[in-house]
Amino acid sequence: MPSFLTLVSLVGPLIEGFQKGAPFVKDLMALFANHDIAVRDEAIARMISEADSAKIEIDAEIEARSRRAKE
Amino acid sequence: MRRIMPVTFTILIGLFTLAASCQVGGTKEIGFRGYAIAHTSAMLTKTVEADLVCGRVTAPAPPLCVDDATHGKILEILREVFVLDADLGRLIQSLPEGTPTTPEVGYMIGNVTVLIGDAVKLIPKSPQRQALAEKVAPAVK
Repeated sequence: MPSFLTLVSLVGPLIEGFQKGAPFVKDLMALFANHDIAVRDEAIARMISEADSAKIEIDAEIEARSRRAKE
Repeated sequence: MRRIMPVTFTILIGLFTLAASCQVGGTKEIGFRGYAIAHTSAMLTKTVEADLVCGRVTAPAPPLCVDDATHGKILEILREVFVLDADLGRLIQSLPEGTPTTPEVGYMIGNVTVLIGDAVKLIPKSPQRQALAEKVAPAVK
């Protein structure tokens, strides 16, 4: 675990890195961004699957209701 | 000192995450947020309405419960909602990273919202409907 002073001493170079677009800062940012994208894409896939399942469930209920109505 | 260290570390991670999502998420991220809200509203409406159908243990007594004919109408609306919901998700999924959200995404989110409002309007007025409307269709009184 880095010491508090080590962490504090990182802030200056990081801010400078942000301003100048240093490669290590870009790499770190890309790492976080790719993680965000992966989480978002996973959420989209899950929501599509939930919507498809809900539609199938509703279709089955509509079908059962119309069958009951005919009887 | 030991308490400050994790806080500093968390702040640094937060800064990176924020900067990263601002830089790369872009406009596709905006479409995703609208989609997530629309999808959550659709799922909540389906669950709450099902609990209010007359005869179910969770339903209030008539006339506050949803009768069979109204339930049938709501099912037809919700079917349309979930078709749109899935199509919307697939559309957002197909957008290349960093491209602007298409007007179609906004149009589809708007349609889902209107349809959810139509479904909520059909539910008889009750505290449960009030609570649902506040979350998914604030315009419905």
